[in-house]
Amino acid sequence: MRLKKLGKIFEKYQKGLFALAISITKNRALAEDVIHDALIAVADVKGEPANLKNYFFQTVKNKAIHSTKYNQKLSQLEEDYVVTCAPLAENQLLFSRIKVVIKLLPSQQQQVLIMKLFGGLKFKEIAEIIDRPINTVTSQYRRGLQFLQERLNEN
Amino acid sequence: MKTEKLEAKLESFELVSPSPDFAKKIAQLLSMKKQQQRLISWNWGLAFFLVVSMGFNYWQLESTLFKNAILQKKVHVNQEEPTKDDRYISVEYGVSASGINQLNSIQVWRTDQ
Repeated sequence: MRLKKLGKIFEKYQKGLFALAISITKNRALAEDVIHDALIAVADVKGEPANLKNYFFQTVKNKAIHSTKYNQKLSQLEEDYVVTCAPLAENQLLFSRIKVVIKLLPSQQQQVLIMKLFGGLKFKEIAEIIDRPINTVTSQYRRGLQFLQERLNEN
Repeated sequence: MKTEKLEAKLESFELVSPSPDFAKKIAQLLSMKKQQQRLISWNWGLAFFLVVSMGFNYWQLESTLFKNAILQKKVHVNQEEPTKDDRYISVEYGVSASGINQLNSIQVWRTDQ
């Protein structure tokens, strides 16, 4: 029964789950592994979680944080979370600078920025994914963007 | 660079998509977990059946045994020395069936002689 529900949640929120995982791991393969592991963990958990969807997202988040820390200890992961439609040299340069600046932000601001700017998710969706009020998400995004802008203008 | 311009520029980037076979892998994982759970349910069912069956067999064995068992009660009066006056009474009691032969005896002596 729970597996059926999990399958439906995965189908419906696949984009959000992937965006959440990759916003933390910043690596595609690792994000996929995280979702895979989280699915197994949620399927095997004893007792029925009150809200399966929220529990699944929370598990993905925790697994992503854990596996990022673990993998960073082992080796420097290649960050391959963004592609550009127009592979211009200017865009590549801009993105390499953005990657550096984004890393300076607090982790939740990083997640919000990545999900909003690159994942194309709406504030409402992000708020649902990270389980925060929409106003908090909006202000985190604004602050993050402002920080990004200031740092990019400095150089 | 203005905020709007930066936002517009940043929106030209996209998050990478999951690998093409990612959804398929997850579907496979879910189906594998379903099979595992079905197997576990079968195992529990089998274990329950075995326990019930063992309980029934034990009960059946016990009831058959006691149905065929003979309740024995033998009374011997002065069997060793029949010519003398009654000196004692010996009583044997117990159950005997195939595999079981449990008899106990008591002897009561007359002491007034």
